[in-house]
Amino acid sequence: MNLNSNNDVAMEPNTTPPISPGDHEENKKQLSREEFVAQYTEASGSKKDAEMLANEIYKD
Amino acid sequence: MDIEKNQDNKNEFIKSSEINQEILELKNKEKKANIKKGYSQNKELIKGLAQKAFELSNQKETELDIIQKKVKVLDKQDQELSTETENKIEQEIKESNIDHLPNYQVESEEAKLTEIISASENIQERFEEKISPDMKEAIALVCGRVFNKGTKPYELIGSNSYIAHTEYSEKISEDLDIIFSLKDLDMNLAELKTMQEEGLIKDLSTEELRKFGQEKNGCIKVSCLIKTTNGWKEMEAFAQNMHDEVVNQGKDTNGLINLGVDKHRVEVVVVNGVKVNIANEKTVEELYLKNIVNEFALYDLNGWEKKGSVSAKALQRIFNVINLDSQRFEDSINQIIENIKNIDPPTPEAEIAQKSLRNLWTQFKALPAEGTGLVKYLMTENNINIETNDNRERKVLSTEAAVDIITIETKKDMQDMSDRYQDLEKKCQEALLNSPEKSQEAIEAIDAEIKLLSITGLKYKNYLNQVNSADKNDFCVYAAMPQLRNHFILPIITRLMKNRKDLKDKIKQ
Repeated sequence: MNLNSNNDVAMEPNTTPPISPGDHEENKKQLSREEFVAQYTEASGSKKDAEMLANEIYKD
Repeated sequence: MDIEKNQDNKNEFIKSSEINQEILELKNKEKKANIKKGYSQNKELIKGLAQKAFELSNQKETELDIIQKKVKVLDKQDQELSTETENKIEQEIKESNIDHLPNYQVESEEAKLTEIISASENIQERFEEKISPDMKEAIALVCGRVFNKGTKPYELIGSNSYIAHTEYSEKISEDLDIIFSLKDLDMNLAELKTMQEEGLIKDLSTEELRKFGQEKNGCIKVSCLIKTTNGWKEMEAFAQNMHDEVVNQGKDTNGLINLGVDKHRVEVVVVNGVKVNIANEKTVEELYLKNIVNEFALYDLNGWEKKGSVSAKALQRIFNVINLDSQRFEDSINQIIENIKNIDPPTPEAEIAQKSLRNLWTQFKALPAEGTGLVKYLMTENNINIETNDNRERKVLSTEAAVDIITIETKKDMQDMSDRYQDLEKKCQEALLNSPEKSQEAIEAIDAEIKLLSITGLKYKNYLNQVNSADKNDFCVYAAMPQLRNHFILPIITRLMKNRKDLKDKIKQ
């Protein structure tokens, strides 16, 4: 099997993060941990998942 | 009577003894005289012999001297002849190594910095065996018609050079990358235009590159498709500054590999009867190390503490470096981390890249050292079986395949997540300006996206659970995941949840 990705030398940018780190920090400031857990629980139906993600995102 | 007789006998004996004594003395004298005479004669003889021996010896010494002198002269002549022959052979080799470059300016500073040698039999054989017939056709055509006619050094870089310098790789080079001098740009472009008119290439275009996607750096990328028997092969050739531009004109270097500025060794391989310059192993390694640094430095993550970022391409490059001939595959991650620091010139980007890679390596080593291992897991999941009895070959080829799988997968997932997010963000902003119904629609779209992100997240969580930190090959595959999670999944989820809250508030109003 040959899965060549043809991408050894290109000198151009790759997939850029959709949200800049600065904006990510700003979003975290505008949405409290509790608000995040509430929204994510509603969206996914899992409070456990919401808490786990919140622990990761709001660890600082 | 007896006494008298005895006395007489005694007297006679004494008399006889006296006579004998005289005789003896005479005989002794005679003997002595004879000995003396003999000695004198012998002495003369010996002296004569000695003299003759001496004369002979002197004569032989003289002959030896003459012979020795002659040998010395012959030696000197031999040495001169040998040096002359060696120089002549060397010169002939040098000339034969560049006889495919009729316009090459041998005395230029760029040429002096570039040693062009014939590739070893091994490299030549690998190139012959591992590069596809179509690619060889494209290389022979474009180098024979265009780049071999240049006045300054050029070389093939990228996968075509990489493949020739690694023992085990099933990689297939699909494009053709070349670096050459800006001085040859006009001439090469003119020839490429002629080839386009002849139908041998198509889609010829040029573009000036930008440093890290920002200001233009003077490097001109020439792109086109080269016609082969079975289709078209993509070419990207980079016209760069060399010695004159950098040293005499004070311009910046504008390539990852600075051919004609730094000392480089270029290897010549014969491709379909055409001699072609390719990068040597050291250059290939330097290129991939710089590529890794570039990948880390591409994002200007202002205000972001964890600046380092590993892209799908970086994974390939890490793997490519450790798979080169002179590397010990199993313990070369540490070497890469160290070598990044040694890249010349030292840059803040290299420092960031080193720090980030070291951080990833530390995180990786902290993972459980047990289980199947991610490389093996991906092999099984994708039904890939490496058929070989050689353990090292199996390990390298498995890792190569796993890196390819994860590269393609992460790249696609990142692109899809990014595209879907852009659409959704637009939808949310529009909904916030419209009716509550639109807000409800946007919320439903967010919830659907969360489910998709959750599926993607679970897939990578499962991959992470497969990692066995005792198997260092897993590192190349692992290295993509922290970025995917930290720079894509988590920021998108946070932003969507903020939008969701805003939309909810809008509905409540």
